[in-house]
Amino acid sequence: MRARNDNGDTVVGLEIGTTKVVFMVAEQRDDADITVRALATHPTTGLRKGQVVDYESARTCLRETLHELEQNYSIPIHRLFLSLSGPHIQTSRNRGHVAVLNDDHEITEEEVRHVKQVAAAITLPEDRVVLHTIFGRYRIDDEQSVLRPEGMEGARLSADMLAVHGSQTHLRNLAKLVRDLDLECRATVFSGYASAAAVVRPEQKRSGVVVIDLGGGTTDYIAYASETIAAVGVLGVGGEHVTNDIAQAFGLTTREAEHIKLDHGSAWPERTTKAIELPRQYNRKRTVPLASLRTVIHARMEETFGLIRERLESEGILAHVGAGILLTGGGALLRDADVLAEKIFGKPCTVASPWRLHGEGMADRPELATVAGLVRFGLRNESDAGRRSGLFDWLRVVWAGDDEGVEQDDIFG
Amino acid sequence: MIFSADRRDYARQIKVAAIGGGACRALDRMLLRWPRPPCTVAVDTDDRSLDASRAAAHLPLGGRLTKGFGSGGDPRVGKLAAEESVAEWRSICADTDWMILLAALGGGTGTGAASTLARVAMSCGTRVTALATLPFDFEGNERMQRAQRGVRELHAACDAVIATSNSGLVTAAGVSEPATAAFAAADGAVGFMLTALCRMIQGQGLLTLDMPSLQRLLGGRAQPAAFGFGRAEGSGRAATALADLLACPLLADDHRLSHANGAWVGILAGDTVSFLEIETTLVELRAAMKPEATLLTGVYADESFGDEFNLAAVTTGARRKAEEPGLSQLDVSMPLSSAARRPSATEEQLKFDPPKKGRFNDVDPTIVGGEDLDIPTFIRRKIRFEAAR
Repeated sequence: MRARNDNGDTVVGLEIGTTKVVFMVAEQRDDADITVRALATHPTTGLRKGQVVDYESARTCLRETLHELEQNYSIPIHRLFLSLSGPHIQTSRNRGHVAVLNDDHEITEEEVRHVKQVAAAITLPEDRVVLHTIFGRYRIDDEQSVLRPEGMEGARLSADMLAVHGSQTHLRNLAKLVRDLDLECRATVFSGYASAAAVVRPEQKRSGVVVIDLGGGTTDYIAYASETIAAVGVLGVGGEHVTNDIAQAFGLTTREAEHIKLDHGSAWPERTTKAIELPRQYNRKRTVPLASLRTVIHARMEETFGLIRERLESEGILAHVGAGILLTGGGALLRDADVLAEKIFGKPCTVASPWRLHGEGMADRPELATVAGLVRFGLRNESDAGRRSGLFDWLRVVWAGDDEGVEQDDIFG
Repeated sequence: MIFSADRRDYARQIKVAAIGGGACRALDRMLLRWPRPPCTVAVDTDDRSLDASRAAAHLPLGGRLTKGFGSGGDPRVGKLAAEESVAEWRSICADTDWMILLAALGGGTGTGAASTLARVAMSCGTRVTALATLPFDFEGNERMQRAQRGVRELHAACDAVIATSNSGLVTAAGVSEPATAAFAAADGAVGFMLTALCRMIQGQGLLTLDMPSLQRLLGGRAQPAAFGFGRAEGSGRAATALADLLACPLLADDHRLSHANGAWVGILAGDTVSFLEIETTLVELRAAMKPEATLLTGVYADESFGDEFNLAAVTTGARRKAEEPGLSQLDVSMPLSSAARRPSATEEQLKFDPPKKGRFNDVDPTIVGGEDLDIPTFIRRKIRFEAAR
């Protein structure tokens, strides 16, 4: 079935993030693990908070990254999977009901398909595009909550649906960037969803887990509870905000702030009299107190985690999270981010990197979670494409129904 | 000499926004007897209430969330609805110098949305004063608790909050029968206060009041403000009105003029008012107050008041100890609830003036819970630390 894939057995993932652009070419191994064939990253220009603000410079940046990739990987690429984030990503919920009209009231695949259709039929404003329709648990006669209703009996079947949707304008502009490179975008995936696919293990998903992807311009989160996706969200705050806070607090340039964040930053405040020496400017010696630096970073990180906690708590999800919190994305590399998250969520917290991902230098790289999740999606869906080629719709792929309903563990390889 | 082609350039742009059903109805009743009102905006989650409103502009909140059916008495819904409609609200606040928010607390929309809208207005550079009414005693404990929580949130979000109870308004107006008259009297009192404030600020009076002084008076934040009034006509009207004001049941306990730390008193009278009446009233008022208390005054004379002599007062009570613990710089506590987080306000306490967004200046702001998250957290939370050397 892989024959349909122009790139042979490989797929390409492209993450156009706020701080970096990443291309990843990967192929499936026989044991369902993934081997990375090539990787190219480049600092992004022309984007803020995941949205194109300067088209020309964004295009140049993508071209350069692609060029870099082609130097390491000689086979030309044609198609790719694109990730997407930004504060414009929102979710809507809907519940659909159907009557089970069979004589013996047995629920068949037909009813399940029908109830999914009903639940997925939501009306959104014209400028919104649905990225994923995610199905949660089913209910039979408004009582029993089940994961797979086929074969059970009941008079009425209900399905809960969570739609992830984004702004058409932002999607169009990202898609156009890809088209300008003469590449075809096979599907667009919400980056938080992709990251989760890369780092969550099946047993964690079963006990309930929250994945927080700390990106450059946005923080995405996705919560699994009761074996389904219970919440998805984006906060338009990321590592760039931490850098900007530092720059504003100590009167530094963004570059200097970024440097001291990487070298001395920590999410945990500390009482210390140490000071960081900065390169001389106008022949003046400059120092930043380490305790102050950490206070500034702590305030921002505490607020970010606090806002996510508030949202999850208000939906009653946190109580169903047994496996704790997974921090991923480049921001997870901030020292003691996990310690702070553990304190705020009151749950065990770990920094998670993509797993079952092989290749040189692929170990412990939380910042690659999104792109690794993209190729995982890609490999699974390209292999499905032979079966369901008609279902692939430009920019709007309703494959998530299968992912999250019946074959959900397949995402995890 | 500079001539302005448009006189409105000088006029202070004041807007009055009624948030929630209760406030919208109250505003309607006020507009019936308000000759030259400032720009009014009705804000609600309920389409029916907006359709019925006489306000100049209507802003439906959270159309996608509530579908125009109201908040069902849930402040959380009110808050979310406000967050959904932040962009529209921002455009209303854009050219406004002073926004007076009118909220009848205790329900869903007014209680939930007011503080969020106040924060957004503040972030637009608008001065925000909230005039909040607490529910009638008979409306029950739950509504009262919700309303009090609403007042606390407003305190954290506005320049000044003037809170008053509906029951007190009815008592003060001295009308309780029939019910319609009692409600009208309560609204009339709030409307009177609004009119008095607007006229003074707009500079239409003989003695006017500038916004910064009023803000200094009310802006102590931790100190709640209350309002009261006194009315009389005919002979000896000045003395009677003052006695009426001093005895006003709305100004109780800490807020009694004799106990207050600060007060603004406006005289609104017919154009027959004499200089002697004004002078005597102000001298006696000063004598009635504590010597160290601040007294700001305004005088407004207009033929529409006929023979009346009205006194309107806003008083701030005894300064309370700060109600919440300060955030020490190394305080590793759980995040404070949004109520306790203070947005940028009294700038003299900030290290940076005005709040800087640095590289996020030119992009769409990230507004969550009415706070602009692009502004560094340490600025919004007023966290102090040792600066760079």
